[in-house]
Amino acid sequence: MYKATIGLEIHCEFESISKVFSPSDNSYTDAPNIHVAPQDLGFPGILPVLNKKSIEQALKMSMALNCKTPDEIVFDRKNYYYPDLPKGYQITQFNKPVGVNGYIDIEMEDGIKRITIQDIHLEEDSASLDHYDTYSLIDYNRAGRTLVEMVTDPCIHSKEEALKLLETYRSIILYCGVSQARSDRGQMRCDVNVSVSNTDELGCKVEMKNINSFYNVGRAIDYEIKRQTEVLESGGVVEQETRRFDDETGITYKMRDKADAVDYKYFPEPNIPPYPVTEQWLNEIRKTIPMLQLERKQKYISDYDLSAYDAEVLVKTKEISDFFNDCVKLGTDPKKACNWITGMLMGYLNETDISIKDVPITPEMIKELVDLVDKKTISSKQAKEVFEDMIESGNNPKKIVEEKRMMQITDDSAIHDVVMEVLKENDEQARDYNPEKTRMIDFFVGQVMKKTRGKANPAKTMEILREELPKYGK
Amino acid sequence: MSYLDKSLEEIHAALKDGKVTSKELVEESLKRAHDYQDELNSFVTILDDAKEKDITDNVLSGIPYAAKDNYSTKGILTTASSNILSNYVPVFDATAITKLKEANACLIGKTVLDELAMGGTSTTGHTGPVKNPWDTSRLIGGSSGGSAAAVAKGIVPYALGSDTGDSIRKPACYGGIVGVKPTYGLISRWGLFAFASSLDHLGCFAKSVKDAAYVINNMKGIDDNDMTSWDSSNIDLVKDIDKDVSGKKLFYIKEIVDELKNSNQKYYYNFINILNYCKELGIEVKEESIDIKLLKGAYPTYMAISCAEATSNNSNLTGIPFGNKKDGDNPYEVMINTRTEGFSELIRRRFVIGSFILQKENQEKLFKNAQRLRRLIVERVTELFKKYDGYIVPASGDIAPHFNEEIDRLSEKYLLLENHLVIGDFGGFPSITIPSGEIDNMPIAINITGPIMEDAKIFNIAKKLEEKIGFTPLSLRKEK
Amino acid sequence: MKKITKENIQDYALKLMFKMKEDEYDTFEKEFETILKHMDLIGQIDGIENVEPMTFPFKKDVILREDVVTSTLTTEDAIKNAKDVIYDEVKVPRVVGGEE
Repeated sequence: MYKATIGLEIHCEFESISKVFSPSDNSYTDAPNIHVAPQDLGFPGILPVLNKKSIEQALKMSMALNCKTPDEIVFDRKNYYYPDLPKGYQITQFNKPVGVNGYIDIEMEDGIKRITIQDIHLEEDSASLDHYDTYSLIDYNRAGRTLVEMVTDPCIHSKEEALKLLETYRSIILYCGVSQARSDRGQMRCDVNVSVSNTDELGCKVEMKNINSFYNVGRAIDYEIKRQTEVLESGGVVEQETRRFDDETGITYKMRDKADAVDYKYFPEPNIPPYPVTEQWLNEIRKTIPMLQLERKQKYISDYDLSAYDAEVLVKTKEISDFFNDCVKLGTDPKKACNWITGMLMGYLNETDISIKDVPITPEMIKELVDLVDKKTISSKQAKEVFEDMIESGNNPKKIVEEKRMMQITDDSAIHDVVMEVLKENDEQARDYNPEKTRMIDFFVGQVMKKTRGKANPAKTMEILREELPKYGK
Repeated sequence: MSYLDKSLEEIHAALKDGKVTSKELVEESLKRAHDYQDELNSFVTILDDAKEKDITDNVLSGIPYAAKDNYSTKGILTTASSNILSNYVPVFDATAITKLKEANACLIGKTVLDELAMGGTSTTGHTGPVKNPWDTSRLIGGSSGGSAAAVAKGIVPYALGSDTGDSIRKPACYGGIVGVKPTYGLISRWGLFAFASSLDHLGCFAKSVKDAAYVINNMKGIDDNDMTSWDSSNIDLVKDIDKDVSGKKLFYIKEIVDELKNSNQKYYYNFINILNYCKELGIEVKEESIDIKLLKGAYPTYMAISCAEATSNNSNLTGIPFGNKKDGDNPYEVMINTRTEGFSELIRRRFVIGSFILQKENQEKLFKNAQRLRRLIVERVTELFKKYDGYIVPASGDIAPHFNEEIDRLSEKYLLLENHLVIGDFGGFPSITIPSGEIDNMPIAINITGPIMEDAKIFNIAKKLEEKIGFTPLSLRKEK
Repeated sequence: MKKITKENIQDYALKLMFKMKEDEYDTFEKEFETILKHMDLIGQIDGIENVEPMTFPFKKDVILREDVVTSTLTTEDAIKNAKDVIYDEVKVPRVVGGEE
């Protein structure tokens, strides 16, 4: 039986106003070479100047991934030549990363699995290359952008685990608010190491570099497991090598073997003196880490008695989950809040493809709406109408209900008066009342509703009718 | 005597009084630059369109100067004396250049250096060797040779240089002028083409200690663009320069002076004479010993660290975003052709050595051991500085050599006498070379080095000693 | 430590993106010999392996940069030193394969 072992090296561009080692614009743009400082082109005489925000973001992620943090921040140079690397070296962390020995818990169908993390380190991105028939073009906007690389131990054993890890890692990035982690903008990229073995010992590691989407990570893993298994089954030997995954064919191609491995000649970056990491600083950063996705889900299930499905839907994004938390904090019944959020609210957001930040709805409104229904001021049917109004107008439910004169008549005597009126007006039918004929009572309910323009509480109306009809004319 | 040959204070006073104009000084300086270019080859670029500047209260205002061609100058060709940058026109100024611009100083030219500042002779630049104004059959030393020659010849009152091993302080010695590199980080390195970042210092040449003090005062300051720069707003190098130095304490390094005694009697007696001047000034001078193994290891340490850092620092020179690009069928060929043709043989050898030193299997034994020895040397000197205000040593072992003079780089003389100035770069110590006399009509010098951030003290001692010595720079000796 | 041969000199050189010429090897070998002798001088210091390597001349407090944009080159300045440019991007012969 062949067993696959997978390790992932996941790169993510972090978002800040300026780049990690240069004070130029760190944001994404389509226009080439406009977000560049001298550092980003590697001009002679440049020096790196370290962005405090980038370190704080990296330390935040390090702690969110349960890593051990260093006593000081230091950087190393990784030396190699490539057309997208203007300085001829990348500033990275080799000897003392922002985090080591951490873990991420992922939720698989058969329970929680712990993926251990070797390290997480802060570095700079390279320029981007656009390839044409006979030439390539270099855009230096991406050069120097803040990049954080997380390296797992080789402890993943299936495509599903790998994808779940990617998803979970992405959710932690989003929950920590350090990046939007958008693959379509190349913000998240992944190197995948796969080995296959039928013994306890690990097989030879094959590395696939720079895979640009989760979908392709899955395909690359599938292909490599199949390829390596076939090689081994036919008595062959898997070479330790670097392969390139071609996303058009789904096939991996040999790039270079181990003998060609580059010696990066890492050495300490002499332009960035060590910066001490104090306990106090760490505490301040730690305070900014929110409760993460999996923990929230577990809390929703255990504390609020929500279904696993609902909990899953609520924690999909931090914004929604925060919104739900705020509703609950205001005293809204969790299940009712959940129904409104996962039903009407998320339905609306999905349909219109916008985020919760883009609608004028607040947790206070949800609470008010739920209260109105609870107090039977409006019916649940009316509540839906109110919701539709408030998501567009941003008005309070109470205000909407008032403006639309939706208040139900719940006052017994008021309904009683209307009922008696209706009975008198329909004297004949009332006298002929037969409890066996249920349609008859619906007719009277309808008449009461018509008279009150739908504001009479239907249940109350029914109750009074059942009481009054048998007595009528007797 | 032309006003251009006077001290900065005197020129400033003349400018203020209207006895001379900035325009006249700039024109005179440019004329001299051209007149002596064939003889000395001190300039890569002479800025014929250099403009006069308004005179302010700043002593440097309106006065011409030159900068080594590894200072990034916006809109002005900056080659680092290498073919690979023979067409490079920077889009930003070095911080030091910006500061001198703000001081209304007038840049009149960019001076020749050893290619990429990697050398000590100023013979390897892509526009040819720089000659020593005292004797053009001799070299001026390097790597800041063009700047040294320009000041020694009186083309400019002062010029900027950079010092990674001894690249200011050695040519200053061979040129009979003052050469200073202050504490590491006193002057921002932003815009200085990196050679070995952990050793690179900016500094200047001038005819006198006080002139140099004015220049460094204007170059220094903490800079957002250099994380290793520091706030020196409380340091004024001019203010206390004439203070009484009696009671100050200096030591000389026994092993170095012993070697001088063995190899160059004339130089030795000059040095002993200087020590007597110290005593006359009330400076207490004592002999201290430093393990000869440490001293002999200094130059090898320098080679290992500087070649390693240089290999990495110069990896940006590929011809792609800038530089003298050569064609090729693929990007690698482009880089290979650019770098093969762009670098001289010597530079390529140094890079191979540097990368060998950094290789995974060698790094521990070569690079890290060098970094360790660097620490041992710095710690030993720092420990001695607890008892002293600085140390005084001969700046070299001999007068400037002739071109193509063979040197044995394994000899005691070479290791102990010719390369000890590198200690100042190891520890980032402020260090100043001042002329101490002559041998065979060629200048010799002493060097004073002190604890970090005590730059003002070193200037003070050097100034008082300079007065005692009474050396007349070459440019003031004959009619122009 | 590996012995220096013509082959590995050329290999080291190519990894640094340049070539050594045939007539340059002799000088290189001589220089390398000197360098190795120099390195021996370092190795001779007793207990050197127990010393902490020194990267910075001295210890000093560092100020980190606040997260603001203070430097942006114009596109024109960014690419004016590049020899081959089209569509505001720097042009090189087609890059085949990939590194990072």
